[in-house]
Amino acid sequence: MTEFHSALRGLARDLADLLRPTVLTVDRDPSLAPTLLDSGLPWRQLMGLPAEYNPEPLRVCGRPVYLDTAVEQVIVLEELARVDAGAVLAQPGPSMSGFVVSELADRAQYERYFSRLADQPTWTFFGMTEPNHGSDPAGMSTAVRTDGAGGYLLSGTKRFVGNGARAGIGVVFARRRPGPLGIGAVLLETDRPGFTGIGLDTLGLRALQLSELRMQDVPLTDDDLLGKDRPATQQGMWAAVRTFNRYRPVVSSLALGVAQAAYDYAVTHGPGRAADRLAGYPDRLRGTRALVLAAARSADRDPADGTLASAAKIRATQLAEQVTLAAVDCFGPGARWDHPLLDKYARDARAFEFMEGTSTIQRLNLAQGYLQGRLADDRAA
Amino acid sequence: MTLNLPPVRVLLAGAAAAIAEAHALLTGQPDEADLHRVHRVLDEAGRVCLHLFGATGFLTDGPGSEIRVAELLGDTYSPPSTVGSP
Repeated sequence: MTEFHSALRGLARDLADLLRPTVLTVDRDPSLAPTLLDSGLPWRQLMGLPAEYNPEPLRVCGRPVYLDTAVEQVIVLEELARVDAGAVLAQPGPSMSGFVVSELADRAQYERYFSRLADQPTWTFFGMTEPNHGSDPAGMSTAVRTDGAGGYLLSGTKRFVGNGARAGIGVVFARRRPGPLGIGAVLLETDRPGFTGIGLDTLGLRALQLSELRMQDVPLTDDDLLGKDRPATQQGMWAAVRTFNRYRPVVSSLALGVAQAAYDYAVTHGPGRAADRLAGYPDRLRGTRALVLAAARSADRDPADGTLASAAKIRATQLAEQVTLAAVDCFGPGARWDHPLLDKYARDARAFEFMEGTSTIQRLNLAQGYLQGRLADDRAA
Repeated sequence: MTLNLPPVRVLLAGAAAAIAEAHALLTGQPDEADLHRVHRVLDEAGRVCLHLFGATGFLTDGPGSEIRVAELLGDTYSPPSTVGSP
């Protein structure tokens, strides 16, 4: 951890306090998430806009901080998630769809997407998962077909899409041709005819407002097709895989933030023996934090390699689930009723398991990467 | 079929082992420490099942709600844990 990283973490810790007053109210009513814009948090500087759209970035140790690298994001977002992981995910801004746009868009598409986000608070979506096929590209049924007049029509349903019902623009993955290389990415505003976003009622991370996107003959033009001039091997699924690899360390940092929050809460507010009962966790938190940072460095260096990202997500997800339940157990019967924040941490922790691939998928990725020699010593990098 | 995939079976076995432990603890006359442990292993089995359900288990109208109810009941009625071993 460098001096810069320590200072960045300190700044984020101070900013996180601004989220405390609304943690439980937004959890109860996710429709209040837009009021987080009034929290005093500098969302415009925190959302990760490219430098050209962020003329007044945060500054730490004299350096501008754009929050557009995985390393900066895992440090800052862990601290914010120690207060409210749901609020972090409910912020407007580019997030995963922004990474796809950065990877695939032409200049006009890039400008169309990021200028809108810079001009006004705009939520975005990343539409990949489908109700019956998950994220398996082989089963993807959302499809783009020609309309016979030089344009296209997009139809299908996406599920478990964060911020989907409140988004203004985002990316949908859809089949354009048969075969594994036939998946394309589409840049899409949500006010098109035939597009509907419906919020789903969830048990945790409620501010995120997981949603279902229904698209019925949504009109498209060539200008909406991302990466259309790139080779077939560098289109939709290529970008999706790189995006998952890039954002798994970020999800891991959110899980780590929730884990740390639950530990802190139990030790601060619990019975005197809480620290003894949770004695093994500080070491695990420290180890997972180091792993998440290493995974973020790897993601910034080469988003094609998700080996460390999978390792970080396995460890952070497992830690969040275990420490949130252990923290509840420190308080004795009725803790979930008497300590609603603890209950929220335990509910929120459940989400990280499935976000951007379950632990089973991460284990398969990690084993494959290890056997192929991709889990090399990261310190030398 | 998904249930025939080895990684899915591995998770299923984890849940089954936890349920088996709960059954074993409830045999005979369980004391408070036994009952505390029963709730905890049921929590564990529930979490393993959530891993199988994926995002579907996170919806209030999905199977995850039943697991949440089980966790809340366990939190409310389980006796405090005891320190020490036989």
